[in-house]
Amino acid sequence: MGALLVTLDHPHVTVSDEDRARFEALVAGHLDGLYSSALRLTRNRTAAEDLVQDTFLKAWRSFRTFQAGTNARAWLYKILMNAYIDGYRRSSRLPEEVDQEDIGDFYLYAKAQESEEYRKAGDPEEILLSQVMDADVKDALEQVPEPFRAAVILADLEEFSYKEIAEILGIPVGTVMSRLYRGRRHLQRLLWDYARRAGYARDEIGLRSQVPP
Amino acid sequence: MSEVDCNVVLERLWVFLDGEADEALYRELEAHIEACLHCRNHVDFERRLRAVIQVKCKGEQAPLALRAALDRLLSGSQ
Repeated sequence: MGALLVTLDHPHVTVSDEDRARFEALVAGHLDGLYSSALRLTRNRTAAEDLVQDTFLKAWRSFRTFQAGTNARAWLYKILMNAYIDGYRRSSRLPEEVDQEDIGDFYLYAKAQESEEYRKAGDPEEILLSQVMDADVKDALEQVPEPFRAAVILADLEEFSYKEIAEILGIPVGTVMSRLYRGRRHLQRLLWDYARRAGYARDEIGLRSQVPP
Repeated sequence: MSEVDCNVVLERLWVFLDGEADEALYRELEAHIEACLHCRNHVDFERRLRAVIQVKCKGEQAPLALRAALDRLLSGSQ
């Protein structure tokens, strides 16, 4: 890690203390958010740490070109996303785009409403939401294939606008919308399975605890 | 005025929830959603689901090593 830092120094450019303080304030404030996103993207703590470090090294290198008053958070996420996509290319682990078959709409809400079992148990939406609370939502999100997962992370976790996401990912707004649509549909399908599994697990524990010793 | 029914709400659900509908569309969708129990419940469910996803997937703390690396970068580049 230390060796990497040295190569990034610019011997011909002097950095003012003011620059350094501005940069530190900017990055330190977004470090947890960047790390959360990196973790959901890479699905691995070491890789996430490397990705965030790579991000702030690159951000520092181009900080002089960064205009004060522009969207600093979007700028940082753009660097993060570029580094992430570059990493994919380098290791030739190209994101799979295998979502071609038309699986139609999928809404968890509709599934809960249609389920006889949930209806019988009372309030279907409440039951399903509490099962989602029990489920491994992180794991479900991490199973959403790329490039849909990145769009979902930027919209649903980081709450960027379509325009910001388009800028961050370097794609048109229409593509942002279709990736989001497909990513969310994937996520809801996965959550349906995960939530039901969590629900069954809880029910079994409940049943067992009712059995007298 | 276009005809906003439950199908239109479903088609525009994400644009509505993401706050990306233009004002005219937003108002039409909102008017239908307020009047339609089914759509209102669906919209409410999606909002709550998103909140659950956020609670469960955000809030990771950057490891100390990462903060230390940032400090090193800034103190090292004189």
